[in-house]
Amino acid sequence: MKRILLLGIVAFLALVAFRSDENFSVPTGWPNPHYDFSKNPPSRAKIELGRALFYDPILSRNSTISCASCHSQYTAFTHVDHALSHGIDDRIGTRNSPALMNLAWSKDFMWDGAVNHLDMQALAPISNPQEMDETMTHVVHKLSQTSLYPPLFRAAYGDSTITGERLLKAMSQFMLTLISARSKYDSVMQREAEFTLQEQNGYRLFQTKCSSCHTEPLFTNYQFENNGLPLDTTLMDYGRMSVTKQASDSLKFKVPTLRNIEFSYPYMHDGRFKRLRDVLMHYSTIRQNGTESNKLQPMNFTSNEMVDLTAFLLTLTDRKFLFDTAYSYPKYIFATQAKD
Amino acid sequence: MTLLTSIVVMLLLCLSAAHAQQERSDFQLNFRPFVGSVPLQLDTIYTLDKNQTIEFSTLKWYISGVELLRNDTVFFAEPNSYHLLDVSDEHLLHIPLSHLPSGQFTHVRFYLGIDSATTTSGAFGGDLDPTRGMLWTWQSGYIHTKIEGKSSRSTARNKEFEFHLGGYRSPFNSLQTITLPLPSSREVSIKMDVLKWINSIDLASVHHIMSPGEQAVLLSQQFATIFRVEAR
Repeated sequence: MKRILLLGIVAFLALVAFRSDENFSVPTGWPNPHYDFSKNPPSRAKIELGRALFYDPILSRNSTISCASCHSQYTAFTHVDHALSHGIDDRIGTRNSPALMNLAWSKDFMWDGAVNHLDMQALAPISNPQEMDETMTHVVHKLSQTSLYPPLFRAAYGDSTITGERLLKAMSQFMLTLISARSKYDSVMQREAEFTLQEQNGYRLFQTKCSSCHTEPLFTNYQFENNGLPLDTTLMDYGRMSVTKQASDSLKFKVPTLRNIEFSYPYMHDGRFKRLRDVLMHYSTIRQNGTESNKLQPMNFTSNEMVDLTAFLLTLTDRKFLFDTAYSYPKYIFATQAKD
Repeated sequence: MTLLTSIVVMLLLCLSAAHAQQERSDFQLNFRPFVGSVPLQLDTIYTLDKNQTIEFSTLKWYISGVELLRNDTVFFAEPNSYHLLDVSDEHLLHIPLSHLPSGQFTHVRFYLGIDSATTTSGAFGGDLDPTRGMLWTWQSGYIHTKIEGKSSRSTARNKEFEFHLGGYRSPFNSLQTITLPLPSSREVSIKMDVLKWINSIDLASVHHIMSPGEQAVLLSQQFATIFRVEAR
């Protein structure tokens, strides 16, 4: 009995420690992350290696495109002002690059959830002919030929061997650190700030009309939903159905977080809406298209309500996240390379 | 006294080491792909009935979760059991098992492919490393079996065929469980007649399968039937 109690305490402590260490901590009031850190324990050296890889165009066939090309920090790690993201040789993809933040809580990745684990995510853009048009085998070969990477892998893993697994796990570690939880909304929830009257009205409206899909505190329920957008016949993108092959998943896409929405425009999986106002107009006048979420009805927002709602949505902007130098281009790593 | 104690300890250690040595009997599975009755070699043209031809350029498959059974109970389960078998290199066609407990076993059981739990648990090294070319990229998942080549039967460009069989999500989970009876020898050859499998496919209409689905499940089921323990 004593032993069971002891085991219980140890397990509890492990869980608690899990929520917070020097490299990763769960913001107050947030659920436990989905990512299994025990399989990829965070370390400063691995995070910095992942950060270097994230910003290095060496991952692409002709060394022109890095992850940051389509995931720029100042726009919450999405593609500045592009409806459909463009990659190598200016080739255009079929979707809007998703904003990257709070990825430890996400179970599936990509708009259709085709990628099942954060570790596996980077494989997709690296291999996609429209994005980086490269192979993992060749990337590993190229990295091993540099003077920069073998020492970074040694610092991270104890020896300089570069493998696909090590590369992907280091990239995960950097991406896991991209936590946005320092917005005005968060300060209000911590009782360190107060909403204006307009923001407060918007928040109330948000809670009744939007939060069943954009659930607090992460502002997504991590489900796939059809939000009533008509099919773009030039793209013929049926979303989740292409993964599950189930007709009931037709036109369903992952519910994106609303955090930093002020900067993550254009909106929707294909970037069809440039302005927040267009998005609110869409939800206001929604029409049936088959498999839409049963949570969805035309919201008939008045213009005052739209203003209030927008005021609230802007409280989700997290400037500390957007300008955190820990996430930015690691000049100090690449400076040594320039001398070679 | 201290000296005596340490001598006794040393003796005991030696004895237990010798004992462990005795218990550690090794066992090896050798996979031997054939085209009919002829050993399969890559990039070699085989002539079939009616002047039809076939050649293979790639033949790789995952074997995982290897277990030795004594009748119906598990006698030994290989830890961390993931093996990529590849015809391009003779060394990549064996699965040696070591640290077996002593005793008899009657069957071997393994998966053809990689199970869902592993597939959804992130990146792994060794034979599962993403550089091995056995992962889909646009959609997560391991290619359980990769078979590529040319045949006069194929109506595709350059008479090619490409089968990348995989899928871990229900209802298109293409993982197969294979159980085979074993002779008492410590080295066992498992013969695979790949021609028998390809003969079950109408290459005129089915020559490229590159994603999970009904066809991938069906062809995986058929591939699982070609594993036979070779009689000595």
